Amino acid sequence: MAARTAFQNLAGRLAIAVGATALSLCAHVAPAAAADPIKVGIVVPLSGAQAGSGELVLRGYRLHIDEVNASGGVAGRKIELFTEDDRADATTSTSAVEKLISQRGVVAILGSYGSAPTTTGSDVSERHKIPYIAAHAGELRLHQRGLRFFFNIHPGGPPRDVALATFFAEVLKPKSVAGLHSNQAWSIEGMKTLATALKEKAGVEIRQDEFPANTPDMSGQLTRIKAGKPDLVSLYGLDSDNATFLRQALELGLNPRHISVLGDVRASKAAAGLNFDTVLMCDDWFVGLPGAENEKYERLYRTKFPKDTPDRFAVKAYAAAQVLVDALKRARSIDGQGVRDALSATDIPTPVGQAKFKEDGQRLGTFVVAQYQKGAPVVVYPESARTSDAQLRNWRGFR
Amino acid sequence: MLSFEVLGQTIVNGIAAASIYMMISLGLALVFGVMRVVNLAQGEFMMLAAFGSFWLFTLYGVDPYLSMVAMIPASLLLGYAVYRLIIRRLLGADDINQFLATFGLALMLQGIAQYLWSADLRRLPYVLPSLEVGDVTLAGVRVVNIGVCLAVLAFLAWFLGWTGIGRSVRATASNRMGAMLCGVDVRRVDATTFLLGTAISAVGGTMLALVYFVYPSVGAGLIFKGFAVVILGGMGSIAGVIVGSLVLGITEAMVNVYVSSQLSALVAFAVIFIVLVSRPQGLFGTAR
Repeated sequence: MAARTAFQNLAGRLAIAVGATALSLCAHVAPAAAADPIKVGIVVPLSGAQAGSGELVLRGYRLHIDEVNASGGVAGRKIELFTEDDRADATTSTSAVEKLISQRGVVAILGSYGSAPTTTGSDVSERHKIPYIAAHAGELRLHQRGLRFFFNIHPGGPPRDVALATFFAEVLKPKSVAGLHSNQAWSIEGMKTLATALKEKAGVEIRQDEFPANTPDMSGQLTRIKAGKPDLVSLYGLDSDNATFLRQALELGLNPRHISVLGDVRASKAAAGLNFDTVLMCDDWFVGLPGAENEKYERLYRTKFPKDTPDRFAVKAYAAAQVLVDALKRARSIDGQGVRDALSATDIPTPVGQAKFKEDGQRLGTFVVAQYQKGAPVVVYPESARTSDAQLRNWRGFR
Repeated sequence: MLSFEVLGQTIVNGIAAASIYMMISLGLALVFGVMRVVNLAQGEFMMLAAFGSFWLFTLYGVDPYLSMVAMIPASLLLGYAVYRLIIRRLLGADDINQFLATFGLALMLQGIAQYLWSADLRRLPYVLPSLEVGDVTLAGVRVVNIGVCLAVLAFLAWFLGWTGIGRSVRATASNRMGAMLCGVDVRRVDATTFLLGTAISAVGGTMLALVYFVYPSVGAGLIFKGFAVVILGGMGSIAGVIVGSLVLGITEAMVNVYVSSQLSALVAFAVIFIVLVSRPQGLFGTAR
């Protein structure tokens, strides 16, 4: 009996000793938790029609996060990325963001390509009080939803449309203008704003026409436009639409004095073989845009991807990642609310310009008009950023 | 807006689109007419040929109209493998099995193309001078495409009307059992028909690459147009394919210019509904 009691005592002491050791081990583990990686989610289209753009957006996000991790991370914590493919589809984006937040426990989302997946993805993110930073979503209504956790690197359509209308009125002075926009909301909104602004500034009406986004055939629209003999055709479409437009304009003999598109006309692989000289483009960034941040970015990009030219997809994603990392460094706590509060106070230089958000989460930004001259884009408007005068001669088509 | 210039240009645009629709529909109609198999992967054969011509031009500068010829033996090899491994086993199977098997094949070919070449939209940077006929501009490549399409139709007319195997194809399409009883080797006819369909798709693929984007799912979009054409013309009817393609192409172009580009995308589906409800055998088909 005594032996049994002694054994029980010994067992009890052993249990206490094992428990204490376990607790002390836990105590050692606890400080290590502070060095756990910071989890960040990425939602981009990696399949479907927008996969090419999505891969470049992902490249931009990773470029900066890899840079930060290589230099020690944020306060000694690495950033761990979790990527989901949303196919640029609104429904898929909802489940992708839900998965990243609920299952992966991310503290912020770097957003998709296009306004539709961004709208649904950021709705989910808002519900979980997790910041969503968009890089490529231009629709006006994104910022009319009263979201508090939504931030957007894209400065939005109206500043771009007004800048373009001002350029048309002051420099091109067209007598008749045809406007061709896609059936996407951002494009319809944009053309409407451009038309209103041009009417106010120059008293010129825009004859508008519509096409389905990503269409391989605009021959019907171009036939109508050609019959109207406009001085200027302004196209509001995706990169692939720019390529289709130029290709078919050439085939159908549509050659107005001025052609204006959005973004960089060379961005689509479908534009291969075209000569872009004299084509006008409007965006907030172009390769070679003067400025220390952009020069640094382009050097980094060319070092990492020596065969590729810096593109507008990756650069905006890079800027979004810069904004997030800056917020993580300044956040009072690494959680949704802490990061959100830090994001709202952002004021840093990026390759696409200063990043500072309005109340509604949209970045304040300026747009420039560029023109391809001798195979490279040069900024022709506004005066403050101009690197060359606009060449006012007709487009010549293929190389 | 209703000027002769616009009308003429619209009809030309419609005929150019019809030449592409004809290429996908001929393969569908031949295979269905003889084998009673709806090949949902017909568009993917076109897609692969389009990529073939695209890469031959981009990497080696091969003229697309030469690569069009090179694509034919390549497509015959692929077509034969598909016929032996899949299609032959589906003959006489339930419609749903045929649908699922060829749909699966279509998805697989799309997936392989996406893995190899990504989902980027590409375009063959090839142009021929445009022709001006009055106020109408004829895009060079579209004119040549129409010529190629006419050449394919002429070849098909000769093949089906003047060769022994062609007559066997027609006999089998008309009455499979009767053809068998008369000593026609229907297995050989099946293989020939399927390979003929893939060869036409190869030609169509290059035509496609010259005027559309090249990307992995380009064939999936076209297959619906092909269905609209064969349903309109009458399942299995070659004459029906020609008329159906022209009707669809020109109607789409007219709706695009005179009504709405949004509605023009719905023309093919409207055709399918209207024909199936009012005349299920199509314009040139006979009720079974």
